[in-house]
Amino acid sequence: MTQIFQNHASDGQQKTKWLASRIAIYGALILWAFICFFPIYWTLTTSFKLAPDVMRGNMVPFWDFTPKWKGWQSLGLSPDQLGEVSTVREEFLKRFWNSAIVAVSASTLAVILGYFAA
Amino acid sequence: MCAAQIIINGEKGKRTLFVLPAVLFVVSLVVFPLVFGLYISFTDWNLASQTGARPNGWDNLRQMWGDAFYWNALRNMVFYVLAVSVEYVIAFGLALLLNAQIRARKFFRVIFLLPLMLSPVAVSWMIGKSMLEVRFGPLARLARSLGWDSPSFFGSPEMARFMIMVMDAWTFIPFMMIMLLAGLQALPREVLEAAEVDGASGWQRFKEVIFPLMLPVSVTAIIIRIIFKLKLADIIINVTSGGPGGATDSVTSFIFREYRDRSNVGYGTLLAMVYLILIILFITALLKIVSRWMERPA
Repeated sequence: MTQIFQNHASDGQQKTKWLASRIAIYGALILWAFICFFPIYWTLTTSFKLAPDVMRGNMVPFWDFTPKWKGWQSLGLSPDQLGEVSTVREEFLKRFWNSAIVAVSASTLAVILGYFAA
Repeated sequence: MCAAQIIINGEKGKRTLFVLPAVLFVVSLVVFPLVFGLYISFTDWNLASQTGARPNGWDNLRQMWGDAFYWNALRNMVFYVLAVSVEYVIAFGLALLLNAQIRARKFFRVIFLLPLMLSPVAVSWMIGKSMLEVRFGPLARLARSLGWDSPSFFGSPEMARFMIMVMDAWTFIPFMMIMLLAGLQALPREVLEAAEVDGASGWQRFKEVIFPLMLPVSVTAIIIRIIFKLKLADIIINVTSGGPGGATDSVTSFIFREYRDRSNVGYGTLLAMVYLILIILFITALLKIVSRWMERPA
């Protein structure tokens, strides 16, 4: 497809027009990708921050703050705790298990009932 | 009994038998709650009262009539539903972008779909409680550096409502986008090529070919989105719980607080029933108008 475009753009004016449209398209794409991704990035990095880092508004790990497992420790999910028994972690992971059970059983039930009725 | 059904009624009996589970399911989980809900919406059932449910005639309806917060919540819903139009424009733009000849299309598609995969509760904490936090949130910092001295995103009614709309849009624009993208990719290629050969400019191609062909998909996307929007509650409950002064309340979140804070089951159910009737009327009218508008001579 790009080749077809380049054949069209034989004179310079058309080429700049094509270039401008490319820049606009990619600019919009990257802008929206940033909007979609930044909250997730922010949440993820904040989970590795200590309270002072949060208050200073540091954003880039290793550059303006040192990531710490402190937040994950309270859930028993930091790497040094993974070998140990942790009731907090079990409590936390139980929620995931509950969600899985609800999702699977609800959709199975819907499929079975719908199958008979259809 | 099952065998008897088949023996007595033959093929017809067998058919009845297969529908039975679904019918029982629907009756027990849809019809019964509806009828029971209708009953308790005319009682004064409050979980805190010792008497339990006592029918109280039209009192609940009269209370609803005078309940300024309920009408306020309904008025807010008008704003929220109108925001769907802006979401639609953005979603259509994004779908067109993703449908263009670009590199790394899969990458962008996955990134654009990320917000939809998060639960609205997570979104309300990530954005509403963390990023829009007045002292430390990055958006508050940005606002301060842009010259807004004391940013407060949930202080004024308009701003709070706008922020709720933004968060909801952030979550559900990908949903509309993916529907519209599917529609765009199903467009007949010959028509687009014919338009290109005839020398239509990009804007003409969009206005005269793509947009009219996309109308059915657009209408479906918008209507499903409006139905989603009418159920909007989780973000509001988590971020503002209706404040300031009920400015961000959706009907659903208002009913939720009627149950949770005042444990007013009877009155809350009546509100929910009235809302259900309003939704049915609204959606039916919308579908009628849309179908008439689409069948109009061009």
